[in-house]
Amino acid sequence: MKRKNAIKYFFNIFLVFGIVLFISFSGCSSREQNPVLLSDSTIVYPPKSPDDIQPTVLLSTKVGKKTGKPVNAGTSFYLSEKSNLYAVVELGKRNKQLNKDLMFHIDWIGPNGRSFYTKQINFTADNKSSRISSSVSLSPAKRKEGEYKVRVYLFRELIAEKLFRITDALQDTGKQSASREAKLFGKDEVESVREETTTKPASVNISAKIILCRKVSKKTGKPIGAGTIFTIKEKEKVIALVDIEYRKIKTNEQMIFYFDWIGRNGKSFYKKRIIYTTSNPFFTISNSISIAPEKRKPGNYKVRVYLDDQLIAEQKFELIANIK
Amino acid sequence: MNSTEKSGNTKQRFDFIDQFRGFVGILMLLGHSSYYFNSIWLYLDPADPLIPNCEQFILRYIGYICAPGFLMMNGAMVWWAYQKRILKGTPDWSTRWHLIQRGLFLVLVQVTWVNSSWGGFSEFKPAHLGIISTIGISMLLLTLIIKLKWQFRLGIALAILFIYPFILQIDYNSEIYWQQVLMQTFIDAGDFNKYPVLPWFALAILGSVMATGWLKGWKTDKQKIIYSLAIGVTSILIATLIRMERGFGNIFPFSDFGSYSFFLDQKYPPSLYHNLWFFGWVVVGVGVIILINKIFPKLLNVLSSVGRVPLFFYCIHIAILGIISKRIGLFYREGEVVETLIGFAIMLIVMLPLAKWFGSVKQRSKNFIIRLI
Repeated sequence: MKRKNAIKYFFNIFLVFGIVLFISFSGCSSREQNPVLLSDSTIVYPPKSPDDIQPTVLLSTKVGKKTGKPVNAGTSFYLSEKSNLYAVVELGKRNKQLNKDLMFHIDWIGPNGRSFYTKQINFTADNKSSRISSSVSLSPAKRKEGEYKVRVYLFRELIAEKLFRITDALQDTGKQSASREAKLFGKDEVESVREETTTKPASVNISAKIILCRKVSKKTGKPIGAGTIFTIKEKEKVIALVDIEYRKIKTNEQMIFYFDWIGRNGKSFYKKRIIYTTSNPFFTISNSISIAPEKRKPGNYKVRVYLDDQLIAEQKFELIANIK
Repeated sequence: MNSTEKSGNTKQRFDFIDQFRGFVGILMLLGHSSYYFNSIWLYLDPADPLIPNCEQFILRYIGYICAPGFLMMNGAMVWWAYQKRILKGTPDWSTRWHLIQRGLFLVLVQVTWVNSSWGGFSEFKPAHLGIISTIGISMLLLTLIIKLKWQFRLGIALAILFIYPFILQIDYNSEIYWQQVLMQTFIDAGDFNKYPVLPWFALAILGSVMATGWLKGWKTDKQKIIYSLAIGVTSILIATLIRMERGFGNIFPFSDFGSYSFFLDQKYPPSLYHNLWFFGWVVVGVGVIILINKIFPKLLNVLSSVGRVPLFFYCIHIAILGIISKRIGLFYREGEVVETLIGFAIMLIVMLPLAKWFGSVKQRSKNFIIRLI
């Protein structure tokens, strides 16, 4: 009888515990476990509540002084003595979170997986800002080449992250690690997302950096929607802007560049020759492809840029299906 | 009560304390397995934790109960050891000296063995304190008030807990060594000591207060269970109210009830919410262990073998992990949750027989040092 009562008691207590634990832990995460890739290559953990903060992360070496917005956003950057890298986080749905204290962290993680800088940003209830930012130096004394990531946390919970690469100025791509994405999206998918690339070092006199974007501003000529992941849509394009630095340029030298777009099967599907004449050691060339559904399929692509026969830059990118 | 009953009760009283200590010890092993095998520790700052997902949150948060659990169980056993010796007729000062020796021994163990074992004994690092020395210093301080009635001890503990948030605001320069040592030994957390004595001493006192009920005042298991659950749940509710008020007793802000940030208030040093919350869970945990023992008497025996030698268990498992993982470099911070659990399971297989063996050695031994461990 005693044992029967004890068992009844035991189950009652555990029922209470169960309820307490359920209440406590069922809501422990306010974000979905499965991340979503935005077209600008921000990895976002979507909020369970539609009114919660929806971030996008843009990386850039310049931020508009007046607007605070990043200029020439991208995911690949050069080591540079005097440059800083800015992470600007636009806080979507901020207007639904007004009159609340908010606590953000922006955490920078190096190629070794270690955090090298964390910035905490607290908003008081009267703060109406919809943007947070943090910056780190790109000085070779402080950074090495490799795969980095920047993570954004809201109340200690991961809400977004972005992978980026820092390379030496003379190279535009380097070895790419897939391990982080593997953990996020599963090995198979990642193997198709990124594979190791080798880059032929360009001539010591020339350096080239490819920025891929969706559009180019007609007013400023700056890229819009820069990244390495693009969504296949009608009328959408991937534009390759190539910033070139050719220190030993001769006056009015005519240069012949080739853009070579390579499909997911590894074969070239579009080549474009560009003849460029300039005396300026810093200049930009561009080329684009359509990514309409009837022309492209989801997968991994790359664009290569040649000066004459010499490969001077290469950039991988991914096309993903448009999920409505 | 005849002598047999008395003997039986005495054994049972030790059993549930041992079992809870064993439970906490095993959770601690899980937390330390994570520290060595889990790559989250490449970027996790324990003083300002950022959580990538729910699994990592649970893994990290489980370990939060360990320090309060050990401090409270230590306070309970200090009270019990004092009572037992006084009842046997040992003079008051002699009894206190026995406890002081044990406290000093813990400080010594911290600065000699424990500090160096974290890095696999690659270097001798006596120049900082930690959880074991904090338990030791708390023992020393507890001997000063152990004779007081439980109401006075409770008053002292609550006074410390409620005044502590104000004391924490004392400004000091951590660059000046004596200020760092003084403040971080007793009040603030930092490089010298993550576990300042004052708030954790309050939990040790509360453990001694609870021992008055667990080991003496509450005669039946039913009483122990009901009072434990009532006190524990009350404390958890008070902690929740303090948290929801978002003012006094809180240090880190949080978003909503039940979110990561709700649970993760500051641990180094602990907020008032943190201390009341975990005091509640420790008391509830002890009540549940008594309850489980009542229904399944042998189910938790495995925990007793760990709980009888908690210091040995602590010192040895960190040393093994430190040498194998950090010093030799075997899977050091290479895995995530699954790898942590595998490492934990392997460590359990190693540590449980060791703990059982040392328990029997300790029981037979008359050696002063071995009996202290």
